[in-house]
Amino acid sequence: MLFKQMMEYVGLEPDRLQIRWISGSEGAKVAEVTREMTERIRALGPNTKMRDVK
Amino acid sequence: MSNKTITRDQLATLLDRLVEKNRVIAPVSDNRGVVRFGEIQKAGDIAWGFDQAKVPAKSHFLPQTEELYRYDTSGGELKIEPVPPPRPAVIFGLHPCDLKAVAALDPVFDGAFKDVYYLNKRERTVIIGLSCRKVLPTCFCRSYGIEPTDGQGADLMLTEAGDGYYVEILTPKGEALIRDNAPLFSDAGVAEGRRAKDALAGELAGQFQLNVDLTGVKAKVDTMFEHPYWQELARKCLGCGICTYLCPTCHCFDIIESHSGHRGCRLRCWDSCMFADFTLHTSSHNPRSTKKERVRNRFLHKLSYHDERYGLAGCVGCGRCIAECPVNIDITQIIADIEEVD
Amino acid sequence: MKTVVDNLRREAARLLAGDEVKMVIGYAAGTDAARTTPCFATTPEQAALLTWGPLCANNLVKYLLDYRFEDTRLAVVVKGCDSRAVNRLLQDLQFPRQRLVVLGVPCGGQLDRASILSEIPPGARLQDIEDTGEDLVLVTDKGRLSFPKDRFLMDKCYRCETNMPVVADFLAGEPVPSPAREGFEHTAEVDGMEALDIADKSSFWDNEFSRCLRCTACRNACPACSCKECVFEQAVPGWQQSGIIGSKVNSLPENAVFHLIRMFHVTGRCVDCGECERVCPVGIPLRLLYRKVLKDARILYGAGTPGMSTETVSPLSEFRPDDPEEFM
Repeated sequence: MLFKQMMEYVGLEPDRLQIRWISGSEGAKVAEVTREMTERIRALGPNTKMRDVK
Repeated sequence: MSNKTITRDQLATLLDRLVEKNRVIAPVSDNRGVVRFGEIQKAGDIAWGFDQAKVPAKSHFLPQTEELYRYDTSGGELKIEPVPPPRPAVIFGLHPCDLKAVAALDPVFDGAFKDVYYLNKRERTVIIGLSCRKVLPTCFCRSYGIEPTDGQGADLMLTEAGDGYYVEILTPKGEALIRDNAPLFSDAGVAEGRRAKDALAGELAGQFQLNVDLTGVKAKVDTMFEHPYWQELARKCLGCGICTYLCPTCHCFDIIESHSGHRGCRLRCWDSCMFADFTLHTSSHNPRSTKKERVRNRFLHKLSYHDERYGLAGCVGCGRCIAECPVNIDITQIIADIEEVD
Repeated sequence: MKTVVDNLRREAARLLAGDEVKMVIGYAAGTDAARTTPCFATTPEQAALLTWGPLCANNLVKYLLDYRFEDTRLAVVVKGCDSRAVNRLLQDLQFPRQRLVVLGVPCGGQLDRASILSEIPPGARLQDIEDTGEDLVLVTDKGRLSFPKDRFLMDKCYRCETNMPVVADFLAGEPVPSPAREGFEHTAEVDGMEALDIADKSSFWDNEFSRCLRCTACRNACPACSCKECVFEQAVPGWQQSGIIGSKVNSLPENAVFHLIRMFHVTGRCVDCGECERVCPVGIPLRLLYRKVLKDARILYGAGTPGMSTETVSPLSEFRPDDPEEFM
């Protein structure tokens, strides 16, 4: 949470960092959360600010 | 061709015109008032009142990060794409110490091994020098035999005189630039310009607060490799790169790869002998493992090695490292100490 | 101030003469009238070089790390702000308490070198410093230079939390008034930055980070940076460097990554001594980054300024079930 606030502070969309705690027994949740994360990132578009960082 | 004069307005016109076909590098000020040599789009971008650019002009010839070539290995074949040749450039506003610094870099990149990246830019660059307007408290170029109005190393040397500048033509490159822009220059007031320059030179010579005596310093320092002085001096060093990155004659670099997938490029980046990993070997052995060896190396390089290799001083007395070192490691103090210690 | 210097020299000489410490790290006269330089006294005679006053901005605690793997006992001179760094190093077991003698000095504020420099005649030699209460007067061979304290101190001094050391074995003088401004809003600039929209934040920091030289002075001066091998200086051959962060490439994204990672790494460690901002040769407002971390750690985890005591725990080194989170 601290790091997301730092990202926001220097001008990076905080949504680009998403952390979820999912148990090994929750396979369906992994799929669901991954799908949701992907959609959120897609909506943000390419991260041009960090483009050259390898 | 005999020397000329140019008015302030005409100089601005000249620079505006040069921007059309050249990269023009000149002192520019950023939002925090830090002056560095950067590319301008128009004469108005220049920080005209500057005393000394904090970041020197070496970054034009040796950029902090420079692409050497690109490569592509897709399809199982290696394709190398060289970087396009640099655009012709004009550097405006180099003071005599910085001019001397370029002269000190030349033999490094134009020795037995010809560094095309440096030399291509060097050959395509016209250097317009500018006499200093004042001597800063950290300036000691005079101790290195440089006068703050010396044009040596410039293609054209400008000195403020009255409402304009006195223009000395020092090389064929400078002459060609004048010929291409002849209407902007004038023959009027050349004698007055010469007199104004002499008067300025005399005035500035009296302003130096820092003077060091370099007689015998190289001979002495060459005997001091194992001297405990370096250990004592190095204690205060933080090992940052300020002195080397702001030094107009420091030129160490590292070469790295940057790649993603099948494509990538090879980059040359500034490095600093003050950094702990500078001499780190793959074996994990580090011949300069402590601050003592690193600090000693820097000052031996400035006061001895450069002279030994190229017959030129490795320091030009610009005073940037003195002004910016956060712990007050002061090369003029070190020169004085070297003379003192047993 | 003179008494403090005398006390400091006497105690340093005593410690060195009695072989109680091998070295006293303090301040000595600098090479111009507006600065001092770190001094490493190893003999009682050298203790006479020590000085103290409003030109002693350097945080000397960083130097302890150079001697952490030796077995010698050292003394270090600390101001209030620097002393928090002592506590932090002790907490992180970076330096054993029994090998350390902390010489505390009462600090009435440090002059901002950048502001006073232009007022000092070239070549002036410092002879004495007087404190009139309102002003600090540099007495030089080229005249007396008066600097009103309400204008010429370092910014950090106006927000001073502890002008007396929070840890000291020896105090070189009586308490002096704090330079902190009454009712000064500690987080005003951070609040202002937070209020900008994200595009403005982005362009503000892009501008600052693009000016960065990557000289690493901020890191090297920082007492919170105690790693033997920095994440930005890993021994990785050039052809593999693009695989890790922290190559020597100077570009906006690389520079932004450098500062963002530093920001995260000093969380819970940064004692707000302001050395990073003082040493930066291109004037990047680094404290504006790290004070954001201080503020957030305070709001999210109730953490105070690190190093105020050795009892407090860094917010990133402990877990409490009621910690705010959003990842469950």
